[in-house]
Amino acid sequence: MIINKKFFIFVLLAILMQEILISGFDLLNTNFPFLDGVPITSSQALEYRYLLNWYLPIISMSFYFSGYFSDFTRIHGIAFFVRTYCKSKWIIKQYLYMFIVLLFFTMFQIVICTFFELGTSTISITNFIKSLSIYLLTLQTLFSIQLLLELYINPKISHLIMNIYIVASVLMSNQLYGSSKLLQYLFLPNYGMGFKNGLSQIPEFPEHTIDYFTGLPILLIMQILIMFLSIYKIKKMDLL
Amino acid sequence: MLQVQNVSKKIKNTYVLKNVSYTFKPGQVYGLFGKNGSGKTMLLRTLAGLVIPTEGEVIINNQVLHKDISFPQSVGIIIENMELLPQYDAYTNLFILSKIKKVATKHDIEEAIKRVGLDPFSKLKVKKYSLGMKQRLNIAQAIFEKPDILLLDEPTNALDDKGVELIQDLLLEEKKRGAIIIIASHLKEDIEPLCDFSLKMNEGNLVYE
Repeated sequence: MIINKKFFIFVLLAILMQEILISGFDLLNTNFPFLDGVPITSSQALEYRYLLNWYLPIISMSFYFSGYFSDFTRIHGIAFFVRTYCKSKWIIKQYLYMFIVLLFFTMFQIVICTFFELGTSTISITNFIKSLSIYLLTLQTLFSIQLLLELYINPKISHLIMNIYIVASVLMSNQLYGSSKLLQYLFLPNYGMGFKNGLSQIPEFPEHTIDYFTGLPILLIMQILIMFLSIYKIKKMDLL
Repeated sequence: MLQVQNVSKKIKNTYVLKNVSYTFKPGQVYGLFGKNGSGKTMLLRTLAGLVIPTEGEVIINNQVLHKDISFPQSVGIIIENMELLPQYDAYTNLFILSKIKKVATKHDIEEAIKRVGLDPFSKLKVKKYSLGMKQRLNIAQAIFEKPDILLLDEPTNALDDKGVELIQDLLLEEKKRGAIIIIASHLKEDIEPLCDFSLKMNEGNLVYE
């Protein structure tokens, strides 16, 4: 994956902005608020504030990855492609690189949170590791879906679909709280939120919709499925 | 040896390549001529492994493209709309590419850039290049790993007379090295003097001249 330095810095700035906003809003959070996400609450004002905080780096990352597959398969990548011999290996490598980039962004979030000393309650080490793993896997799954869609449709539309799905999932999850539990598992962005998977354990927001041990395997299966679909598509598609 | 056997390509119910068969041999230059939309570029893309034939096979050194291999194992290409990374200079672009196959040395990269008339030590980013400079760099990109097959779509595009002469000399050197060179162009007069064989594409059919 070729790093676009300007967009990369843009994401880091968005992360910085997220932490400044969080410290300004003075909301109830653990010391790593980006892992908490949006709680189940009857207050819409509160819900939107949490959503704004959580979503800012997410949309930046989505923007960062947007167009990568389509540009690569149509313009910049042709010279790379014909040297790689195997399209399947190439696409698997791209998802791996994407994970490394996401890991870097998340580490940056951790460093900034530690620097700003954010949050009102401390998260246990076990819950921190669990939260971090499911947060990373959620991001990886969401952006992998976005890139997979780019193999089929225009990257701008793929970017739009993914972001509508992310915002709608967060809002719908709250709207549908109390109805079918199974339905909640359709809203993938919530998997990575401590408030939704019960890992943040802030007493003011006890309700959660996702079980960590159910969510994690679902995300892993999704990731494998995305890989298979991407390999299938890239093997069949013409690079015009 | 590069063999094309009964290759057809259908896009949106229209055949853009119709039952094309031909054998390309090492150390020969093949000119592919024809009007716009006659199928020249499509044939080159098919040979490069970028387009999957609807029918037929492309066989390179006994390996079937899209069955045994995704792309030819040693190919250099210039194709329409293809761009290198605009944020890097010429040397860095080729250096990044060289890391994939690891067959070209730093000296090979510098040499290829010099051969097309560019400065390998220039820090000018590709986005600041003129069209002609971009085309020269594309040619350097195609030749720097000394590939067995060179597929060149309109290589003289955007080049001045001096540039065309330079490319002609360079292709003759590549021919001496033993590469199969296939050049698609609508400017017959630029390319034909170099060609051992002239092939004409007409509405997706390959016509021998």
